[in-house]
Amino acid sequence: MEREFFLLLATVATGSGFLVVVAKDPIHSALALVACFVQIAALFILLGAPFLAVIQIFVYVGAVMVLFLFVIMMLNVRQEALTRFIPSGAIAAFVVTLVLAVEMGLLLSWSSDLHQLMAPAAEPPSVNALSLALFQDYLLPFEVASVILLVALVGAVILARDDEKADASPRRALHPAQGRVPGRVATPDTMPDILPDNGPDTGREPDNGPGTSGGMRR
Amino acid sequence: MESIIVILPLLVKMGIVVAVLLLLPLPLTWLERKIAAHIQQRPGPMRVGWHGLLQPLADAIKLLTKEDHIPMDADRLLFKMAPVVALVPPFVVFVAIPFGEPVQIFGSSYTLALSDMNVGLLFILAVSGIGVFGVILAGWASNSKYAVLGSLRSIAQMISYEIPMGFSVIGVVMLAGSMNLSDIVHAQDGLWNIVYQPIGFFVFFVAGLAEAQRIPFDLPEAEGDLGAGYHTEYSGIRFSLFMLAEYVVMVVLALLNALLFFGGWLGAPPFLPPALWLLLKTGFFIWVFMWFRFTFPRYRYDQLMSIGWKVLLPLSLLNILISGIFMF
Repeated sequence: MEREFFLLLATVATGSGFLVVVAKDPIHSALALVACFVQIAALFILLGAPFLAVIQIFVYVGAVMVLFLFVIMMLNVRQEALTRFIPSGAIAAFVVTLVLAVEMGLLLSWSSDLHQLMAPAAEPPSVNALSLALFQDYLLPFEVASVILLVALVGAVILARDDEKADASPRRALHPAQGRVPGRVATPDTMPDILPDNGPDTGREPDNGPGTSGGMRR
Repeated sequence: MESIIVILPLLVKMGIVVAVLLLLPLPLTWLERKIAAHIQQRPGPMRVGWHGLLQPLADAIKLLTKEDHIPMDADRLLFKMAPVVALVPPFVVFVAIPFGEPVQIFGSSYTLALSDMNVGLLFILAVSGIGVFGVILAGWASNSKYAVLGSLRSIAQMISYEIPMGFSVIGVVMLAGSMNLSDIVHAQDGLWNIVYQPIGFFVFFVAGLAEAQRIPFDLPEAEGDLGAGYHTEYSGIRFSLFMLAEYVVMVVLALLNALLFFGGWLGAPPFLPPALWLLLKTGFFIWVFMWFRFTFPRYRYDQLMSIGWKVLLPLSLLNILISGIFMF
């Protein structure tokens, strides 16, 4: 039973992963990635780690992918997605893929620990056990990781604030989606500015938002 | 043979939950229209059946027989997928919701939940967060300004309010020492969580209203400025699937309010079965949601954002702090 489930989930995960790469429309790619993430969450459940599965859905599907879609809808990336990121990058991509494949193969054949990782947990670890591991046994690495994340967050906020100062010129307000680095749009603090609000006291033209903010994708 | 014994009760439970959820919007739409009408001092639907009781049935027939319109230049595949994607997560949430103590039938014990998992609460929050994908897809695939704007608003709103919603239940989890919903209900034996967690309840309730996109937070479909928001272009059965999803989300939130803060099925009067007691509490919250809808005006977009980030989020953090201090 478990074997069949694994085969089903693994097939769909690989298939949707493939679709992420080949899909023409960035929205379709993102949705295929969502499907892939859900399959991986299901694999976690098969391995007896429901907590990890739920976190996978919470963080990757519920937050990261939603922000991805938000950015894709906001910026009209349809044209950019079709142009090559690096000119004549096919050879480089092939080489990198080859190196990674060889690395995976070597890992699989040499390492004996890897097979232990793939075995399901003897008993489903409880939330209590996980919290004890995080906050008692590995407190320092955990705190370091959270401080690093916090620094990244503060950095993103500072980048977004610089944008806001430049907002003094009226042109910026008219084209909120243009001339921004995609990553900056995703911070929650900038969300209110991006969307055209109809509040009477904001002094911003409410009509110019829709046309520029991705409603027209063709 | 053994697997049949395991699977059969699951299938029965699943069938009951799905059937009830599919039929529930019929009485709920009637109730919503009647409450609206009486708040506005008019009788509401009166023609079809006694006091309009059959009105939802007539509406359903109308919706099912209408033309299924797909706009020109729409992304047809995503346009057709969106209502289903919107409908699935609210149904999946019910996998983790317990409705009472295990019952004894013919000597064997059955739990009143599909899966009483140990990360139940987290599962519910995570899965209900996926519901936003239906809205995103609908807005994008329609290729319409109103729909795109509505879905952009709803993405921003859902992400903003998921955070205070998740934080507000941490106090409840701390009190129960578990994320299992049955354990959380058992921990309220004696005194309901609303007594210990008034701030938590307030944040959860308001964030829940925003997550369900009910008034006063229904900006994604504000009919005054957006047509109808993300489902502007939908008609017929696909539109009714969106409506169904919205009502099921409302039921989920009412259930969660009853389970997390109002003792779930505990404290039932002796003549009521506990599961029915829980459903009565749920019904009360549904009624409150509808009452709110016709009492409060809609917030502006910037107000919505500042309520989420500047009021609810600090309040929920404060709630965690206070709970921690008291438990210490």
